[in-house]
Amino acid sequence: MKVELGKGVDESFRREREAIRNLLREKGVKMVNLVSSPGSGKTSLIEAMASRVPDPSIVAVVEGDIETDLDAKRVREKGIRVVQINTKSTCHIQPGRLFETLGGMDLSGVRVLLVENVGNLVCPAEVDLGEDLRVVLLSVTEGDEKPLKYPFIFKTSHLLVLTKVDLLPFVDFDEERAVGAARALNPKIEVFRVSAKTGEGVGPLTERILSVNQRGD
Amino acid sequence: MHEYGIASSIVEALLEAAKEHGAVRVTGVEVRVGVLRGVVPEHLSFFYEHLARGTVLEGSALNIVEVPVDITCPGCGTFPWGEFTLSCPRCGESGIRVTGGDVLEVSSMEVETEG
Ligand SMILES: Nc1nc2c(ncn2[C@@H]2O[C@H](COP(=O)(O)OP(=O)(O)OP(=O)(O)O)[C@@H](O)[C@H]2O)c(=O)[nH]1
Ligand SMILES: [Mg+2]
Repeated sequence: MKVELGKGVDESFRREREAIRNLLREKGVKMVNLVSSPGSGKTSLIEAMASRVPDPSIVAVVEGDIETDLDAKRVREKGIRVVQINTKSTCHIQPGRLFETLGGMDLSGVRVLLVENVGNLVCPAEVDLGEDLRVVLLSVTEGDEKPLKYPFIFKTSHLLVLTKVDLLPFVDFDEERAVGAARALNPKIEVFRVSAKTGEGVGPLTERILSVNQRGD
Repeated sequence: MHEYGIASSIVEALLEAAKEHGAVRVTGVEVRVGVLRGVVPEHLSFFYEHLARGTVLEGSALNIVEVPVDITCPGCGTFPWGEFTLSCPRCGESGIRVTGGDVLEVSSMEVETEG
């Protein structure tokens, strides 16, 4: 007997995702999921944004790494509330793990939760954490062909942030090629250019991230 | 190796559905995978077979149907294509739109029920 299912595989974490969304909605917190290859500058961007938020207590951070709490330490130095998740053998933050972590966090007064996912362009793309905004970072040192090689993350992100633009003079990075590929897949993607080193572009991006709206379901 | 996680989710969904339909054995499964998902079919099959062992899914044939993207070119119109490209594969035009190719679903299964 044939049974038709038509079941989306992405639905497998639906319960956990709903739990996260309910918890955050109750506390009035919006979630931003930061995704990129390892070393594209996610933590550096959070550090750079930390000095531009009007009040550090309105932001909280969850750091996801396979090992170590090095990134959490960097963020804590900036006076931002932060909790580290070590995913060990898993290449992305699992919704169940995030829910547990959020349950143990003091989110009073927090408006925006930044989740720095594990550095990886494949696995985090597949897992919807229930975020209100998905931000993919692409550093100019890693090549303008990344949207062609890893299309799904660029298709599912709301913002594309080109990072390390201070290094553009030293590399052959064709911005038009990178952005063109992302837009071919995702015409609505908003593009930002930043350098955490010089501070270029960090202000407008911080404003955009702080003004994140609750996602419609 | 993201196929392991995908295979686990597929197996989980199938076991749930098999139970729901009172299946004693699942003989065939069809999954649809968009080409944008970066799934290597051989890897997915390997992990599926491994995870199916010892369950009602053991020995079932996994049919992986790859779903192309649709390319929309101002000159050539809309047509399916097996991979994401930056310019139209027919005429080379660069102002194209690429839709679809992102599905990942368990579409059907073939089951045997008691009696
Ligand atoms: N020149 C330059 N270097 C940068 C910039 N942003 C980050 N870097 C450097 O890039 C390296 C990686 O930065 P991180 O912020 O740790 O990157 P990450 O994405 O958090 O890395 P993972 O968490 O390991 O995935 C560090 O050596 C940074 O100093 C930038 O804007 N300009
Ligand atoms: Mg980091």
